[in-house]
Amino acid sequence: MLDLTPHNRAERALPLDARMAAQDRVADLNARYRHFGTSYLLEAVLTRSIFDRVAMVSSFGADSAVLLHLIAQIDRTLPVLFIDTALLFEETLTYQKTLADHLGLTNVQVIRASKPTVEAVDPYGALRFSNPDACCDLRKTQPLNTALNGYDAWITGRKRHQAQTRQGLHYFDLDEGTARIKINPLIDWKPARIAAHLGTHNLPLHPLVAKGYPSIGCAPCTTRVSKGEDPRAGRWRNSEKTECGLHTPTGDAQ
Amino acid sequence: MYRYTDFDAAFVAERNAQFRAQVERRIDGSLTEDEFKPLRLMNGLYLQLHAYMLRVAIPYGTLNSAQMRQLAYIAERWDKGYGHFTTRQNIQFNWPTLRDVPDMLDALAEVQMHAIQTSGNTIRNVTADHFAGAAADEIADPRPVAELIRQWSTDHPEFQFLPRKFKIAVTGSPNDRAVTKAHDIGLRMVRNDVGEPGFEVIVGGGLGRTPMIGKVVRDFLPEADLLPYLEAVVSVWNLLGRRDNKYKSRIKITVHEHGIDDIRARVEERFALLRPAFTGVDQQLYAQIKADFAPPAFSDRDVAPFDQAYANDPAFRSWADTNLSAHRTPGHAIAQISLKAHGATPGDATADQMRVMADLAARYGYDELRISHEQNVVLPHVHKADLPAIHAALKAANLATANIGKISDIIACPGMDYCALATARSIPIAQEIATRFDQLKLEHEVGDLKIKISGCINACGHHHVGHIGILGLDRAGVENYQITLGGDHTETAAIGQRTGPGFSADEIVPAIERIVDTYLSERENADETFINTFRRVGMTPFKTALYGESDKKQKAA
Repeated sequence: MLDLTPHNRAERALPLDARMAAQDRVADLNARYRHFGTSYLLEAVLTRSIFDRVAMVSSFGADSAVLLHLIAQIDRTLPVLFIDTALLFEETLTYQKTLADHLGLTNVQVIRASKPTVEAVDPYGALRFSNPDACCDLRKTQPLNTALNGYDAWITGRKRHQAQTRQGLHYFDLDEGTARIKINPLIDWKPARIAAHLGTHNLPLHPLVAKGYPSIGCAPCTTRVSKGEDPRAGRWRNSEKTECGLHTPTGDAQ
Repeated sequence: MYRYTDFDAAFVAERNAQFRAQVERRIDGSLTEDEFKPLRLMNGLYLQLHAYMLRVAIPYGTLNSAQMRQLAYIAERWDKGYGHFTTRQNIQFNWPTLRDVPDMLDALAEVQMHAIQTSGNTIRNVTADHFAGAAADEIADPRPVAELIRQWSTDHPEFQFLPRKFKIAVTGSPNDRAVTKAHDIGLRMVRNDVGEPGFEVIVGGGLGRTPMIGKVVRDFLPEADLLPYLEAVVSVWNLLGRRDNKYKSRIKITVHEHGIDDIRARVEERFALLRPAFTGVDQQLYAQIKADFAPPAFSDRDVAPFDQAYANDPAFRSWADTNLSAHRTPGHAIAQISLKAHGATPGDATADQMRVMADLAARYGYDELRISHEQNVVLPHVHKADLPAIHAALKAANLATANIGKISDIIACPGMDYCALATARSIPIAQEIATRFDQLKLEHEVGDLKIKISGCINACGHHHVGHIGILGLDRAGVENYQITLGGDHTETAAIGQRTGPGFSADEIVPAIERIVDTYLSERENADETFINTFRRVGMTPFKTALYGESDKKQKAA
C-alpha cells in the first residue's frame, strides 16, 4: 500500500549518506551486542554510554510491565515517554500511574499532540474512520517524534513473534526517518515467558487483559480478541493495518 | 559403612609416619623440591598457585558425622576455615602449610580417612553414585564394589607407576549419576538374563583435552570375575599405554588408537591368565564388605509433619520440590544440601556448615552423608517427618538454597583462583551466572539445566558433559571462554558441541543469558527441558542468536 502520510514523506527527506552511516552504526551495534541476553543488553545500553540520550517509549499496555520492570532495576530515572492520544482507554491511564508507582519510575513524561494541531487536522475526531494511518500519525507518531528530539536512541518492547513484519527484528534497528536508533531488548520473548515474568515478579497487570484484550491501543481501534485468534487481531480489526506507524516495518537491518 | 580393619589402620599410620619424616627432610633442606615432589604426590599433596593443597579422598563419597566433624576441625585448625568438595568426591584444603600436613594426615587417620592415591599415576579414589544405598531406582548398592576396588588398588604393586592417572566409577542404578561413561573404567551393575549379578564394563571414557565417551568392553562380567578383569584391563594398558606423550597416555587414547576390539581381545587373553590366581579370597572379602553396608533400620512414622510444612511454608515447598529425591523406603527421602548458594564458591563449605551437616546426619540421617560429584552434600536417608526441622537448620546455616539441578547448581573447577594449571577463572563466572539468574528470578522458570565450567583444557569442571559447558582458555594473555551445548553426563552420555568463537570474561555471562533466552523462546512448553529442546532444534537457533545468520543463509536471503 502506498503510504503518503506526512510523517513518511518527511522520513524520505533524510539524506542518503546520513542514512547509510546510521545503518552502518546499527549493523555494528548488532554485531557487537547480538550475543547479549536481555538483561545484559539493557544494562549495556543504560550504563555504557553507547548513546548520548536514551528514552524508553511505553504504551503501558498489556506487556509493558516486563520491560519497564527490567529497566527499573537498572535506572529508575530513565525518561519513559507515554503517548496519550486522548483516545486511550480509561483503564490505560489508571494503569500507567499504578505501574509507574509500583516500579518507582521517577521520570514518566506524558506526550500529547498539541491542541491547535489536532483542531486543525482533525476538528471532528473523524480522521480515524477515513484514514486511520493519518490519525495515528497525528496523535502518536508526530508527538513522539517531537518528544524524541534530542534523543539518539529509544527502547521499544517489540517482539519477533508479534507480527510477520517483526520476524527479522534485531536488537538494534533504525528509525529510517530520523536516523534515531531503536533498541528492542525483548525480540525473543514469547507470551509464555512474558506471562511468567509478570507472575514471578508480581507485577500489576493491565486491567483490560483479563477482559480479553491481549494487545491494547486506542479505545476506538482496539477490540476484544477471542480464543485462538492472534493476540494482535484486535488492533485495527477488519483493516489491513497492523502497525500504528511508530514502527514502520523493518527489513534485515543487521 | 565400612570400618577400617587393624590392617588398614596400621597401613595408614605407617604411611603417615614415613611422610612425616619426608616432610622434615624437605624442611631441613635435605630433600629438594624435585626429590620431594613424587613423595608428596603419593600422599595427595599438591603445590598450587599460592600454597600447598591437600586432597583427601572420600571413598565413594560416603562420610559419617564424625568424619565430617573432623574435616571441619582440620579446616579450622590448619586451613582458612573452609574446605572445597570436588567433582571426584574428594575434599581439598587449599591453604595448609607444609609443616602442618603430617598432623592433618594423622587427624584424618583418627577418623579412618587418608589422602593416599589422590594424586600421581595410580588408581585414584573410586567414585560411586551419591544416592547409593538409598535411590529408589537402584539395582544394587555400588559402594561395596567401590570399597573392594579401593582395597585392591591401594598400593597395588603393579599399578604404582601407570602411564597416567586412572579413574574408576561405579553405578548400581540404570540412571547413571556417577558419570561412568567419562571414566577410564565405568562399571554399571546389571543382571543377566537369568538374574545373576554382574557388571557392564565400560572402558576408555574421559574428558580432558580429548573427550571420549567410554565403550563397552564386556557387556556382562560375572560379579566374581571383577578384580581379575579390572587387573587385566589396567595391566594391558600399563604395557600398551603411551609414556612418550603425556597427552596421549590415558587409556581413552589407547582404546582409540588400538580399537575396542583389539583391546577387548588383549584384555580377555590377560584375564584368562589372571583369573585362576583369584581363588575366592576377594569374594569372601566382598561378602564381608557388603555386610558393612547393610541398610540402617529405617523408622516407620507418620509423614504428617512433612505434608503440613509442604502445604503451609512456600520456602520449604520450593526446597522440597527441588532438593529431594525418591528414596527406596516408604516415608523417606534423599535430601541434597546445596553448596551453591547464589554468589558463593561452588563446592565450598565452612567448618561451621560442615558441623551443621554432621549434626543433621547424626540426629536425623542415620549418621550418613554423601558428597556428590556435582559438589553438593547429600543426606541419603532422612525420614520425611524430620525434613521441616532439617530445612530450618539448613536455612540458619545458609545451606538451604533450593537449586539442585538448576542453572545456579554449577560445577566449577577451582580455576585461576587456585590452580596452577588453569588458564582462566571459573569460580567468578559461576558466581556471576548464579547471582544474575537469581536476580532475574528465572531459575525455576528455566528448570533443569546443568552448567559446567572448566578453567582449562583438562576439564576438571566436566564442561564437555554439561548441557551448557564453558571452557576458559588463554588467548594471548586474555581470558576467552568457549561454549559447548548438548553435553550429557548420564547413561545417555554425550560430548557437547562448540557453538563457535569464544567470548571474553566480560561477555561470557551475557552470552549464557542469550542462550537461555533462546531456549525459552524455542521450547515447546515449560516441560521441555533445555537438553530436550536442544536435541529437538539442534545448534542452529543458538548459533544464530550468538553469532547472527550464517553466511550461507545470509546470501540466500
